[in-house]
Order: sequence, then C-alpha cells, then structure tokens
Amino acid sequence: MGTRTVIPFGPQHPVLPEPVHLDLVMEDERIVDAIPSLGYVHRGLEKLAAKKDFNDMVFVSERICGICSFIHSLAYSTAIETIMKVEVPERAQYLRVMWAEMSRVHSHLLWLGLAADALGYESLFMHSWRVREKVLDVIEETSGGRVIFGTCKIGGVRRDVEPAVLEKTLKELETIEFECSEIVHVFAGDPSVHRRVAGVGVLSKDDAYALGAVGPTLRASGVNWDARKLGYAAYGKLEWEPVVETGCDILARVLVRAKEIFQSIKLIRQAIQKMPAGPVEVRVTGNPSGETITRVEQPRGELVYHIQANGTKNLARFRVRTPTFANIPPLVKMLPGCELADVPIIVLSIDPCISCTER
Amino acid sequence: MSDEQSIELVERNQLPGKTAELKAGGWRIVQISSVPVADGQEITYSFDKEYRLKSLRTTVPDADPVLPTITGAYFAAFTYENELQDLLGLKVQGLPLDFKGNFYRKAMNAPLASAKPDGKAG
Amino acid sequence: MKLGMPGMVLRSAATRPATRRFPAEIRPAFAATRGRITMDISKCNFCTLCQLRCPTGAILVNKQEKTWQIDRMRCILCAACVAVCTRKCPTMETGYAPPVSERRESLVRFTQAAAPNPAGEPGRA
Repeated sequence: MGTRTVIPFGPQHPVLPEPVHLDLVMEDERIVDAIPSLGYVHRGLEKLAAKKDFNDMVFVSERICGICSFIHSLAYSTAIETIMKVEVPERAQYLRVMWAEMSRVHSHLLWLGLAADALGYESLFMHSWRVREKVLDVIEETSGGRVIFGTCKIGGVRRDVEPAVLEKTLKELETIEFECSEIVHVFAGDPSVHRRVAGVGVLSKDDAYALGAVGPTLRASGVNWDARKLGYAAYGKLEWEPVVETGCDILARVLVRAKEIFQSIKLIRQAIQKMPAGPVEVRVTGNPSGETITRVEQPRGELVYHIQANGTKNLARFRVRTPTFANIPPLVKMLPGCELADVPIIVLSIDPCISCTER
Repeated sequence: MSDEQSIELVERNQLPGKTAELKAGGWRIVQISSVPVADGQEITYSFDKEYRLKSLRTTVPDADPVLPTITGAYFAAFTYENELQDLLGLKVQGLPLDFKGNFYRKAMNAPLASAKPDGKAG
Repeated sequence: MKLGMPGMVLRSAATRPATRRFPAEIRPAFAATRGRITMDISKCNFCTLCQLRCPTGAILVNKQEKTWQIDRMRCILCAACVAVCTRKCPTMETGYAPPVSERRESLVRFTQAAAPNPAGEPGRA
C-alpha cells in the first residue's frame, strides 16, 4: 500500500478546450480515484430565459457552445415548434439537416486534431485543422458565419441557399472527403497512435449503459443508440445507420468519430440531392404554452431540452442537459487504474465541452 | 422529438423503489430537471429505453425541500442531484458524492429557487 | 494510394503552405458573410422597429434628433434589424468592423440632416 497524493488536473491544461478541474487521488503512478469539480464557465443561461423574449432565446441557445452551436439552436427551435404545433416546411428541414451535419463534421475534425495534440502528434493536429478550415469555408459560404451560423429560427430557417452554392458545396465535399480519408488512415493505422490509445480508458458495455453515457462514448462500447433515429428534422427521410464499434477503449472512440465524419458527408450529399423547392419558413405569432422534452444528437451525444412555457413571452423553465454532463460519471469510472500520463487523452476521449455542461 | 413519451406522477418516498425497478428493466437515465410550480418545485426524472422516454414526476414543497437519492439504482445521478442542490437549494438525502452546494461556482445561493410560476425570477 | 504520415509531411514540405500570407493576401469574403451592419439613413423614418427587435439592445434610435446609432461591439450580427425594416435601411456588409482602442469608438452614429453623412461618424455614448 503506497502513500496517496492528490494531484490537481486543470482548470488550465494544454489539452483541455475548456476549463474543468479534477482532483486525482494517486498511489505512485496509478490513479485510484477522481473527483470532478465544475463551475469555471457557469454563465447562468437558464436564469436568463426568465428575462428574455422566447424568440431571442434562439440566439442565446446558439451561444451556449461554440463548437456545437447550430444543433443547440436546432433543438431549441424544434422544442418550441413542438409546443406551438408549428409545421416546418420541408426545404427548411433539409437545410437544417445539412447544416447540422456540417457542424458535426467540423466538430469531429476539431476533436481529432485535439486528440492528436494530446498525444503529442502535432503535425497530425495541424493537418486535421487544415481540413477543418475547408469545412468552415463551406459553412461560411452557406450560412454567413464560420462558427455561429445564425440561421435557425422558430418556424424554419432564416436564409435560403442558392442552387449554385449547393453545387459548389458538393464539389468541396469531395475534396474534404478525400483529405479526411488520408487523416483517418493515419489515425487508424499509425503504430505510435495505437500504442497510446489501444487498451486505454476502457469502459465496458454494461458500465456505459448503466452510467448514462451518450454519444460516441456509448457507441464505442457497443451500444447501438443514436438520437437521430428519433426522426426529427429530415433524418427520418434519409438513409443511414448509427456507427457502432465494440472496442470499448479510446481507439474505438476515435474510430467512431472518424467514421461519423464520412457518414455525415454522405448525409449532406443525400440532403442536398433530395432537397425540395419551396418556402423556408412559416410565420409564427403568439406565445407558447405547454411543455416538451426534445432530444437531438449533438456531435458529443444526446442533447435534451426540457422547456416549459406558460403563455407569456418569457419561458417558465429552460433546461438544457448536455451530453458532456451525462458523460462525467463514465469519466470518473474510466480513470481509476490508469497511469498519470494517460489522464489527458482519457479526459479528452469523452469530448468534453464544458461550456455546454455549465451553461 | 417526442416520439413516445409518458409521464408518471409519484410520491417522493417511492422514488428509490421505482428507480430500482426501472434499472432492472433496462432503462437508462437521461436527465433530472425541475420546473417551478406554486409553492414548490416539480422534479422530473427521465429514463430512456430503445428510444422511448418515460418520466417520473414528483413535487417537492418549498416548506420541506428534501428528496431521497436515487444513486442506489443509478450512480450517475449524483451529478444531477448535486446540481439540484446547487441551483434550487434542495437537500438530497444519502448522496454518496456530496458537494454540499459547491458543485458550480456561483455568485448567489440557489439562483433558481425563488422563481415564481409566472416566469419572473426572484 | 494512401500516404502515411511521412508521405503527408513530405508532401507538405514540397508544396505551397496551406496558410495565406496575410495581410499581403486577403481572402475574398463570400457573398453571404456577415461582417458588420451599416445604415442608409436617408430612407429611415425612425419607426424604431429595429431597436425593438435587436436581441442585445445594440441599436439606439432618436426620433427628435434624427439619429440612428449602433454599438458594433454589442451587435451579434444576427441581421434581425435587416429583416424587420420595411424600408430596407440597414444592410449587412461583408467586411468586419475594425478594431477600436476605446469602448466608445465602437458606437457608430448616423444622422439624417439636410446633408446626410453616409459614412457615419463616432458617436456619443
């Protein structure tokens, strides 16, 4: 029985995109326990809902997170549309799918870059982000902003995309797909990457399900569950299957996210080809009254919006349960037993988006 | 999207028993959230199995803000229950990892506690 | 043929850098890029719809003095003002707002007078 020391991890750490604090209880080089501590970016957005007009909350919800911004506004708009029983036009649904999947490609490329950086593999990090720049250019051309799209609204989308721009997007996607395949080839095949991630951060299938893991963390442990199967926006009309791996370790999570990039590119192609002509919004008047629980799939997992409205222009309750919040208990389970040098990549493997977690 | 959703009203003391049943039935915990109602809070526990959503709903009066923990069945609920303690000022009994109201670093205690049902926050 | 990492690194060493040599090379903005809001004050009738719709309160309209002011640092480029104006006075330009060294320099005021100033001038808070 060695002596135990407590080492603080975070809030400032080179691998963390956002600040989180973990107290690591160590015995020699091995972790025995990990105690999380949040609250560095708590902005009190749930309380802001009581003061702002519910139409303006679309902009606030988009800014809960910088990486998965569009899907937050998509979830919010879908929730309010469910409460007010608004029928969104088909073209708007397909445009939403297109932007949501572009958001997913951009987020997974960002994560692959950060994972490479956490392993110390800087050239791979730079190459991933170089391809991500192309995705950001595509997003800017269709929506006007690189990270904050500003296109979703209650009742549809705020801008249409011309056919010429869609054609150009399809061509860009071919280049992006080829370059992603080169990068994924390195992640999947490179022996130095393998030595760091294979067999590390194991989360068994039963643990993942019992602890409420979501997203790629859950699908890398063999559980076939993807919130896009619920059929919101136009996902019910497109053909796709969730990506599942059975490795249960970090390598499996890398492979799930890598394969999801290609799946998203195929979904964008399907959405652009199947997009019907027509209006992109319906006019929505009045105030919402009612309650709903809406679930969508963010790049990091299942996002739950629980909204209750009482007929005034402010919402009674605006509750966001983000995927990283649900992935913290699995993280606390994965850490004991590993070595200190593996902690950064394990923390990064759940794709922590702490600004989402602590709205 | 709300494909198949159901809400069941339960009493506070029934929660550990009901959640143990759900755990044995293979349900996964999704979220725990709260809505302010007249002189109390309405806590909703949501569970998912094969894309169906089932929720248990209970009311906690402001006069007696105490809840039993469900971490016996779902250990992952400790994050949600700590958040309830922080934001609403409730007390959850039997919490194994209790941050005692310091889970989030915030400027005021229980910021969502005094929100009245008409939506205006206290 | 898939290049491994050594192949990709050699290829990057042999080809042009992926980065642009800013400010010598500037990327042309796309048509849809949201850069900053500018105003055609000559058409404005000071109905204040834009001020009511702005989610951050960045717009300040003064009907008596016939001025329209925007705080470019508060503006989140949502273009709600562009969408709601019946006379299409505000427009979204593709160039971004230049950086300022003092907070009050981000307030840009447009005054409708006998000789309107189309470029805007720094305003009072």
